[in-house]
Amino acid sequence: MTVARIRGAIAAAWAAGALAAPSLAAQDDAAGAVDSRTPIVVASKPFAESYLLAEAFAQLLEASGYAVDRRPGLGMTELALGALIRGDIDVYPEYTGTGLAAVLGESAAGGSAAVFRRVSEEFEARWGVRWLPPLGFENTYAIAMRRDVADSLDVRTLSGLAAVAQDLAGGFSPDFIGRADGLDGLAAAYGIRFRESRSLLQAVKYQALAEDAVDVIDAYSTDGAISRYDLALLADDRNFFPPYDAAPLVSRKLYADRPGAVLVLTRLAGRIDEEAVQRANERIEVDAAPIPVAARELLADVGMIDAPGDEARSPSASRRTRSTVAALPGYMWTNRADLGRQFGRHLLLVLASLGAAILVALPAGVVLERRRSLAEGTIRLSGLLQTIPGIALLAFMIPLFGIGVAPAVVALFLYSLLPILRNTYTGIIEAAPDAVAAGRALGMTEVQLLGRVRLPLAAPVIMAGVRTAAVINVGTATLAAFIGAGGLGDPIVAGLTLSDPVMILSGAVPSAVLALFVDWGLARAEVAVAPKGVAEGRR
Amino acid sequence: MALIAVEGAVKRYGSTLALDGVTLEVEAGACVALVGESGSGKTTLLRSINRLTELDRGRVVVRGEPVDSMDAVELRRSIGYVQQDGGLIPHWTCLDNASLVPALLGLGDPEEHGRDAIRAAGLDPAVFAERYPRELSGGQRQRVAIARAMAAGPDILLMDEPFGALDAITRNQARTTFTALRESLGVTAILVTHDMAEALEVATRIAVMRAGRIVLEAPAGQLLGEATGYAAELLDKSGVGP
Repeated sequence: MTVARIRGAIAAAWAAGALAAPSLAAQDDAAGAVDSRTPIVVASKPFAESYLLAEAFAQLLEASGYAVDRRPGLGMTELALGALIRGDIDVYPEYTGTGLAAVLGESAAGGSAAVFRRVSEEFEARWGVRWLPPLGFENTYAIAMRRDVADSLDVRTLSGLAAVAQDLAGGFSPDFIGRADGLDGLAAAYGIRFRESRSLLQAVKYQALAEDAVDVIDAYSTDGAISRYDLALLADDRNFFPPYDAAPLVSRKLYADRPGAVLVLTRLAGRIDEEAVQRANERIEVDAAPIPVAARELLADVGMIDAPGDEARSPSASRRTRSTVAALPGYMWTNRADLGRQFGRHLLLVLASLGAAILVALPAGVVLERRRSLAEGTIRLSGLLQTIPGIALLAFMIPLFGIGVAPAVVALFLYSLLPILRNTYTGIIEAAPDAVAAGRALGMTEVQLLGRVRLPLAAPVIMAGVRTAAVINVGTATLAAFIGAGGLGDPIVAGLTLSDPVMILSGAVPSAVLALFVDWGLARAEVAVAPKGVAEGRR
Repeated sequence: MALIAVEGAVKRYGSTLALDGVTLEVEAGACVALVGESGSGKTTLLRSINRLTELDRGRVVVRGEPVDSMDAVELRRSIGYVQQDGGLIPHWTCLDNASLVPALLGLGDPEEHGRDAIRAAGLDPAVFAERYPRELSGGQRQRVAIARAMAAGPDILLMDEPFGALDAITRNQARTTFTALRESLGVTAILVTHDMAEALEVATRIAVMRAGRIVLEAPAGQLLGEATGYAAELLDKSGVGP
């Protein structure tokens, strides 16, 4: 096949120098550009194959002596690419067709080699990021139906689908619906109009198809679920979808400063074929093997590392043999180190953002009471911030603060402002105005009135605002996983993409418990700070 | 020389003229009642004396010194003040409230001053010192408010409708206590009230106010004889007309 040959040629050219190099981390060191201990940040997008490939990159880099920082499951293409352009991450697996259609907004002209050349030139010219040579397989969008339905309607191609689509219901991932190379383009190219089409998460799409809830879905051609559910893939007879060759996409910084690491990643060029990646995807999606295990097996499978020990392949490593609730304690115990770290990170996100919000909103509330003409507008403005959906606010932070902890803390901080500001302001205004007037008339200074009368009386109201903000923050912080901030959202996001309820619960349960505990603790604090002599203090 | 002198006081709030050139002299030891209906300017006049209100024009002289040349906080600490609702600080005990001004002034043992003042206002400190305002009746609260105003021994006391929120019996008792206290301590007092009967009972002089001006000023004993026009109308409304 010509396409495969061309791809192989690119890969071979790239890999030529790489295979000879023995200790590449040391080479970077010698080059003097970067300390080899500086971790290489390896990221992925939130779906199983992206997790798998990123983990394979990470393991290969580690095997060559590099330190690696993993940031799996970054929101979506715009987010991961944006992070790469800014240098917040160093490498993530991407697909040439996605680069061409979804990022550059161009349609395919020519085959794999042409598309690879186009995205390589354009990405380098525009942002300085580099496509390393393709790994050796394509993972194209595919339109899938249940085999029995496709047979009974005699649909084999997308042109055939167009003829019967008006009687069918489609279920598509949100990403696919919004992309130029997705539903809209497909509908235009083939004249396909579904009876209805709805947005379904990757995790539930296959299930929905199997249960007849929808008739047609978008799939990735390498998905393990295609064989599990024995689905029919419709042929793209008008070549609407561009070639989607998987390749490492690396930052300008990594490419320029760490040639050794780039060579390590280049070693994968042309090594992973469709069958190998499909097997690995099946291990994750069907056998429920943990991603590090599947990645290690994949690398061994293609001869990049020695074969893993037997224990990794044993059925006990499988997730799907467990019942959800019964399996949760055991799963959490096994993963206690990770969960503990995620819990700690979650707490850090909440405490840092809440602390900063208190430091800003409390004095601001006091000042607003003295400048009441500004109060209405300021409080309305901070209220406006709260109407922005959590995930959107987090996404807004990325152009300003990149990815990771900083943008998440800023977003959570903005969310916390309103309850604390509003409660401080109204708490002070409503704190015994008669007593304040009398105190002033008898010669108390404004500082004395604030410190000895108004703030003590307002304390329970202010604390109620802090409590509201804290509980909102514990919940919203789970979304921070989408922008690489970690926390208990990590297992939730990963569990959602892998359809693993136990993994989801291992993040959801601790965060719910944390929210309840914070609510209870701050409710007690509200009572504790209520001064004696007023009703609240006597409950 | 008068202890308190108001000279040509003018105060405007937006388009409303609250004080329209008021002149008033209060001799030491007097108790002057400012009587009038809502919006007549009586509270504005009272508040200009301890600079809770700053005048647009005219001036206030207290103890021979113009108040705008004095520090407002120091001035207020030297003058007792009682308002209608008492305005006790709710999370402070009665003793803490009563000791406020002696403490602000840095007098030795402010609690001793507070205790004495509570006793002078007709309450037993052993019973009331540690109670919170919400544990007191309205009349008791107003007595604590008077104790707080008097605890540091000021020579001037300003009162804004001090008995307004009390029921008839409590009000009579409070007035009696107040009059006895004022006379025994020789305090000069200015009292704002809308009730002419109350003014006649507790004041030595009465100034009737209307639309930002004093329309009649007379010793309490002579008012009944001298009142004509608006002052007579007010007397009539209060049920003490001739």
